[in-house]
Amino acid sequence: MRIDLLMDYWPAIWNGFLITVLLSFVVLALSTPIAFFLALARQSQFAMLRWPATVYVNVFRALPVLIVLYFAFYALPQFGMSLSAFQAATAGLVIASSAYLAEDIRAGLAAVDPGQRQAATALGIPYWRALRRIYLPQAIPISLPPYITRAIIIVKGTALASLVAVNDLTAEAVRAISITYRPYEFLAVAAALYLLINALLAVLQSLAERRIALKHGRVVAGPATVVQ
Amino acid sequence: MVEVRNLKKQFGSLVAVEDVSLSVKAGEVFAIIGASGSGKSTILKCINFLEPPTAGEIWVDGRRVGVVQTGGRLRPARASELRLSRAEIGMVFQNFNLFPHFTALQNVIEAPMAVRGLSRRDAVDLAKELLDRVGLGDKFDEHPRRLSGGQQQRVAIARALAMRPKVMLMDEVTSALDPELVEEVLGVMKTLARDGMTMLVVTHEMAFARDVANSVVFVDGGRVVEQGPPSELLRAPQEARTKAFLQRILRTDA
Repeated sequence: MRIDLLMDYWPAIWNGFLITVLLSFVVLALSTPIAFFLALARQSQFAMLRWPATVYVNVFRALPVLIVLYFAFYALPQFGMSLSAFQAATAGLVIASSAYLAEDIRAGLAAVDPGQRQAATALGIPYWRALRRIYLPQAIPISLPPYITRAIIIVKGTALASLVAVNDLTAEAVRAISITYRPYEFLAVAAALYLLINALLAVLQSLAERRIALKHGRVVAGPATVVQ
Repeated sequence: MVEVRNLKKQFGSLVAVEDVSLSVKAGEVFAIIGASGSGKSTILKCINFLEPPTAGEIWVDGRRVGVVQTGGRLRPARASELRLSRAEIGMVFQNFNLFPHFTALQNVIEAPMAVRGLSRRDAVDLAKELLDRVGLGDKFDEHPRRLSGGQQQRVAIARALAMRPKVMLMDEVTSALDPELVEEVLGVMKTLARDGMTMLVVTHEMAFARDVANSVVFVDGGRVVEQGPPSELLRAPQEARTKAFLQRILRTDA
């Protein structure tokens, strides 16, 4: 173990870590609302909303994320759209992630008893109000565990950004290794830092599940742990 | 109060309801009986357009439901117009369909606040009065899962009443209940009938139809087979199919 080497490269690694955190955050913050509307559109009674959303989800769920990333980084400039490396990575990851997350959110909405919809409709409650007050509060607890699992996969997936010239945690670790030939030290540090981000997500999940359980007056079995 | 004219409902190639016409006067209790799958629940769901009819007309309190006349033309009602119609029509379901994350009180105040624009305080006053009326004055803050089936169904009745509906649609409201809980729900329905509420009741409770209903209609294969006051239809049915159905039902009742 060469601690001194680690110290030399720590500023670059730390910088990469911050970029990974930022990229993860931006990707999740943008994908979640898009995924939410995709999920609603896929359930819509209007074919004009339902079909494009269904095609989008099925296409981007089926493609390797790396292909989507390469497309955003290498292919878009061919059409005159020049994005910075960070922008291209963000765009590619958001497009792919929103397709995955949409399915997790849709599964939660679909699991709500259809009788809830009948009751809300019969009472004359407007759709958006019923969604906010009645369907979502029941769908979110169901969607949360798969959503967090997917979020963790997305955080790990940001490592792909290193392949389109983003200086994220993986890129900095790989660069340090290529200079120092000390893979063990830098891979261990990178792994620990990824673990840190995802442990945080798992803690958030636990807290959210507990809050939901309290709100519903239910006893919760125990803290959930989803770290991959 | 409720007029159903030549109602037809088709699901794909399956005709669930065909040429059904009913006329329910204000203050009347109108029972719809028939075997399961006969289309009686579908008739109720067409009245408030939970299932849009394939053909036919629905009139509630002198207004056409689901269709709006502008100038000389008829057009389908917009979602907002349909909501206003539905707000006048209370509905209670076989499986209660209470909102599980809300307390009894929250279940009752939600729609008056969302649809009628009641202030929270007014809605709470109204809800407490109604929950009192259905005998749940001590259960305001309980979640549905802590209530028995009979109690849940009474909350559901209070929830529908909170919209001050002109008519109540009751869709087999005691069918999912344990036998010993049926009576408490029927009791509430009898009180409503006494107070002059117009009700369409799809039911298997022949005693309730006999004692409370003003009119009974027997539905089979999506069509009205026979209609009349309970004293006639239940005691001296004219149609062979009605006789056969009543014999089956009364045997299982005994």
